[in-house]
Amino acid sequence: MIDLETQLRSTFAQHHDSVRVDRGLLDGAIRKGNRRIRVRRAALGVAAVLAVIGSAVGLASLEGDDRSEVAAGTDVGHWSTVEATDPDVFSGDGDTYITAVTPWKDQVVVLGVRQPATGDNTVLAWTSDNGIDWERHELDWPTGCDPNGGLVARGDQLLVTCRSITTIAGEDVVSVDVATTADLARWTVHHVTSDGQWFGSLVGSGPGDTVTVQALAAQDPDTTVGARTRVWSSSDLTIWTEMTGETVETFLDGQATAIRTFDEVTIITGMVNDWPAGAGPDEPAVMRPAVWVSTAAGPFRRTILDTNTTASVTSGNEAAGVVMDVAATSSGYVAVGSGDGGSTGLAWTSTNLSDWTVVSFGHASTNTPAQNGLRTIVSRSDGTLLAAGDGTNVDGLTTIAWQSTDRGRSWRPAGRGPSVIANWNDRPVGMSSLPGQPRFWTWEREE
Amino acid sequence: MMRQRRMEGMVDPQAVVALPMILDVEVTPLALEELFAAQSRRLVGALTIFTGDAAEAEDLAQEAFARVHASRSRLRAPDRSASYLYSVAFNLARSRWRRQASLGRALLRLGRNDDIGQDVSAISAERGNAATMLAAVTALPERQRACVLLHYYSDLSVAETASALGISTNSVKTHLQRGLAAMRASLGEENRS
Repeated sequence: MIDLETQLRSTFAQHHDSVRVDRGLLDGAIRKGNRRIRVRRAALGVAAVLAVIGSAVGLASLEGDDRSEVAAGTDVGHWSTVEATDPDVFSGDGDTYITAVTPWKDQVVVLGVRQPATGDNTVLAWTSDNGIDWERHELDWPTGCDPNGGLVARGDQLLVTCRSITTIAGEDVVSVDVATTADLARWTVHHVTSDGQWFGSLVGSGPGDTVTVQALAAQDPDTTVGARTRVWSSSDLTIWTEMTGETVETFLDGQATAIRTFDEVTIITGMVNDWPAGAGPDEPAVMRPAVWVSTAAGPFRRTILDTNTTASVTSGNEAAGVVMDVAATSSGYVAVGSGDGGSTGLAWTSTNLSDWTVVSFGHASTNTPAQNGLRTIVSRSDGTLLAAGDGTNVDGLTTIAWQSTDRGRSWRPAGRGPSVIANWNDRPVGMSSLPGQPRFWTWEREE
Repeated sequence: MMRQRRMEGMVDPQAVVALPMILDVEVTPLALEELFAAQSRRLVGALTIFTGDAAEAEDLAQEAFARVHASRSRLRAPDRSASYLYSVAFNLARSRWRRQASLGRALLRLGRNDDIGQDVSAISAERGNAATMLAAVTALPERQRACVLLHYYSDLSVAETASALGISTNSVKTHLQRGLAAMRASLGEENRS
């Protein structure tokens, strides 16, 4: 007689052979895990801040219009949703994550990734010339191109970055490319470089009519440890000139989040991964917020920004942070991002691009919306600065909107708003996407 | 020279945009992919028998992979990541109220609802040996069932099973012995032998 253990193993083997697991299970797990990382890293700082504020003034509900809960002063404006003529133009199965909003020709174009439960993500675009009548474009998205790597309008062309693998004589060669389209239907891929192993890349416009591409080069395809940021510019998308750093350290362990150009000044925002001396493979790097600045296409200079504020409540990871975006004002520049290990929203102001003053968000408010997760900042011609993103508060994922009228030195909540914004002919517009279906927003100044 | 062009798939946008996650965004999923390839079917299968509900098992497995993904340092030690995956999954499964309802659903799936509470040996007379064996496993007390599944279904060693369940290796051995003894009794094996 066959013993029980053998029967058991045989039965389990049969059962195992009948089990089918769809790839969508893993994709869903990754999305869940990503959200959890954001919530976890934010929770300590946000909860602590809310606890202090709540004990002092009572914690108001985060539902409703935050504008009524600003402690002092008056708002200069507010965000309002715009109902589309076709109410279903943004709807669809699953979440849609908006990656970019960009003025393009006489329109505004919105780029997003739809994530149905099946895990079969698709890239979509919407265009409108008035914010009300929208056309949805089911894109024939070039494989390998990254909807998160920036969306640049250059004349009648839109540009995105791509990462592709070419097999030559049995060897994989990873390359960085730029894809362009004039109609959102046909795409042309332009080769930038294939000299190395590459992680994510970004594209930005300028200076002048040039295009700037950044990519993270690594010797080891499995890790970003010791990786180096490299930057190229081109005026014809054919000949790419690599831009240099002031020293060999300038681009070491740097990771970029955005490329912006203001006249002759190109600013790359991001962070520097700072591994403690002798750190083992399990020890995380400290992410220090950083900007790289080039004037008139000269060598980039790196500046690591301060994250120390007068905040009395921190997560104990005060040095960690990242710069996500930067805008120009009448007297200088304002960058936004996060500090305190991702728990706190921060802004940095500078008049000379060398000295930056850090400003913490929202601690004086009686009701503190989520502060982390700031992604974009725009500047209006009247000097108003608007910052937006999506982050976490005690209710989970939410959008973030802040505004400043003093060149970024102080900030107040701007109520509910979009998570990705752009300046469309001096009219701030944006899209929110989390949670639920995307919505288009426009910012109006109070009269 | 032949040149074959191949493009890489799209990056999960949330993984890229989430602020603190830029650091490892293209490193960790590779390890997670490997863990998924090696363990997903074993995990879902074991959880299906443990809970008696395939849909519930997939939910639990997805949650377990999500937590492993969110705890990236675990993935840097592949020899321990499987134990951690099963630990998360089985802790979740055990902590949920659904177990009792799932047990009922499992028996329903094996036969009629009047099987619930019926001696497993009575089922064996009318169904295949495999179904009878699975019913016997399903009827085991929770801890014994977990040990049997992790050790015999998921091929975890006694030490890995102990690590996954947060108990000692001696406890695992005891639960395995008692579980097998209970199954022999329910299957009538002792009488036959």
